[in-house]
Amino acid sequence: MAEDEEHIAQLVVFKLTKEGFGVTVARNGGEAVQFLHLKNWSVIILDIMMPICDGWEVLKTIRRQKSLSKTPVLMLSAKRPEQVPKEELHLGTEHYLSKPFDPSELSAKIKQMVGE
Amino acid sequence: MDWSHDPTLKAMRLEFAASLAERKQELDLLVATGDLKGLQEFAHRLVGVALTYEFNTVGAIASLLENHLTHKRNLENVTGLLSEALSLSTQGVDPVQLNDDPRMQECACVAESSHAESKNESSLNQPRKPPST
Repeated sequence: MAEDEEHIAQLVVFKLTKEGFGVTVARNGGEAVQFLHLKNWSVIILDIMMPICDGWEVLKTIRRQKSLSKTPVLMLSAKRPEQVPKEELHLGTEHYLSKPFDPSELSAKIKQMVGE
Repeated sequence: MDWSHDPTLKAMRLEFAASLAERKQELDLLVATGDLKGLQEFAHRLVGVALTYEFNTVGAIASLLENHLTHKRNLENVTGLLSEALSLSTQGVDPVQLNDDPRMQECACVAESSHAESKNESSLNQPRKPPST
């Protein structure tokens, strides 16, 4: 998960860990790019507004790489989907969650994405 | 979400509330230095996290600040209100009493009129249909 807002990251880690997932947190877009090949990720969660490079830039990097092109990505933002430019929504993610979100809603979405 | 049900969640919410004192300092500094880009980012981040932790009044005022910045409105009332809301929230309770503050209503009115104005502008910018023959 790439999220610069510490308290959001804490909440997500708590909820997903409780549901049996392992979570690694990158604190900005640059760190997220560095972490991409650390593991074979089941799901990548990207906040959109982050320092160094934003979530859309990280998503472009992911989609350019063959090994990651099929990895499901969930975009997380305080913007509603209708406020996001269409060309960005078409970068290869059909998963979008607006802040504020209920952590249960997030874990349900992640389970759906990993096919549980 | 029921924050009181789980002790870890309850502690996390209290920790978030305590962190609002630092955010108040950050806000005051951004206002003092006139850093509008910094204020926009600050407000955007705060909306998401405050509403997620169910500090709904704080989130609503931060959202008004975002709106005022977007529409280049006077920021004095809304930044003052947000600074107060952050101070009041540090003990873990959303300052719902600020919803009745006249400044809150005034800021909401400004945001509403800005929204209406931008809607009118965008409809004026729409290409007109040729008259039907």
